Amino acid sequence: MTRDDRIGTNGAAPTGVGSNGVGPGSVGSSGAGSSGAGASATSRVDGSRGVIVLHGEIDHASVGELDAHVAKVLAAGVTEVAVSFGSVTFFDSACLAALVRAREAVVERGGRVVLSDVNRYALRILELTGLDAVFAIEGQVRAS
Amino acid sequence: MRRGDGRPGTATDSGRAATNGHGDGGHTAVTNGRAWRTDPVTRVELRLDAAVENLPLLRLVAGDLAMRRDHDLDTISDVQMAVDEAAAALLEVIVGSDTLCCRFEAAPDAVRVSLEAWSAAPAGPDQDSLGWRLLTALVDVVRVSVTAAAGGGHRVCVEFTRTPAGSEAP
Repeated sequence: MTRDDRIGTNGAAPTGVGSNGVGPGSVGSSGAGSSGAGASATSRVDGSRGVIVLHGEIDHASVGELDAHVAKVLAAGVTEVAVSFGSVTFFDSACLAALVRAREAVVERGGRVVLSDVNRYALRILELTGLDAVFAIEGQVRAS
Repeated sequence: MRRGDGRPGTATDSGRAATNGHGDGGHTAVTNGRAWRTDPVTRVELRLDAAVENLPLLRLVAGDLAMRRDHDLDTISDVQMAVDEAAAALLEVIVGSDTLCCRFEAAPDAVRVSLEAWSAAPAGPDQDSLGWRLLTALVDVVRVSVTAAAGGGHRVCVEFTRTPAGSEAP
């Protein structure tokens, strides 16, 4: 069974984060378009794999969303967390720290964190921090 | 994405050099009867709430200034990330302050950023953090100062300079 939830960042309290009693696709009050910082994320669980798709700018102000989605897929018992960077326009060390926390949690289960749709600049930042050796990077590196 | 120089500035007396208020003798050039500012350095100063919600604003300003001075895309991205990390590190450490003062200076050969806030605590940013390691890898020079403020407390300042060839790009 696949569950797909969207949580928007609009500065409001993160109601709906991690709630399981709501139907597919209905968590949160807004999508990516209504966020002042232009950040949001979606997540779903495919068997033992949690898939998190990031959108917009993931920084110190908006990283709570990523943490919430990580907590959510971990609560579903996944052993692998896949994070897509295809729609990310900016990320900073807060995002990287959240991914490191996710990795620590999932490695305890014998799993891993996979990053996908990484562009050339994102790969450069991962290399500068040495995190390219920590995460599995899946697929082709995009030019931009 | 690059933009050329010669963006229109505030009109001044045509044909005469005009001061730009920074003591380094700004210049204007006249084309088609209009004065165009040709200063080699663009300066912006912002005073804003000391909150991480303002990081996108700082990135926007830093990126725009670097773009105006025709820096390459990696330099623009690096300056945006550097100002984000420097400000986040400063916001993390200041105590009892609600205002952040930011000065940006963009020249063709370098972008300089200074971030300053008052703090009740005499402590600078955590230089062992992931964000700080990223900051120092992205720019040429980072300086931190913690000095006594007039009237009590401390001024905590983080400054950095980034030149086009200044990153540790692999």
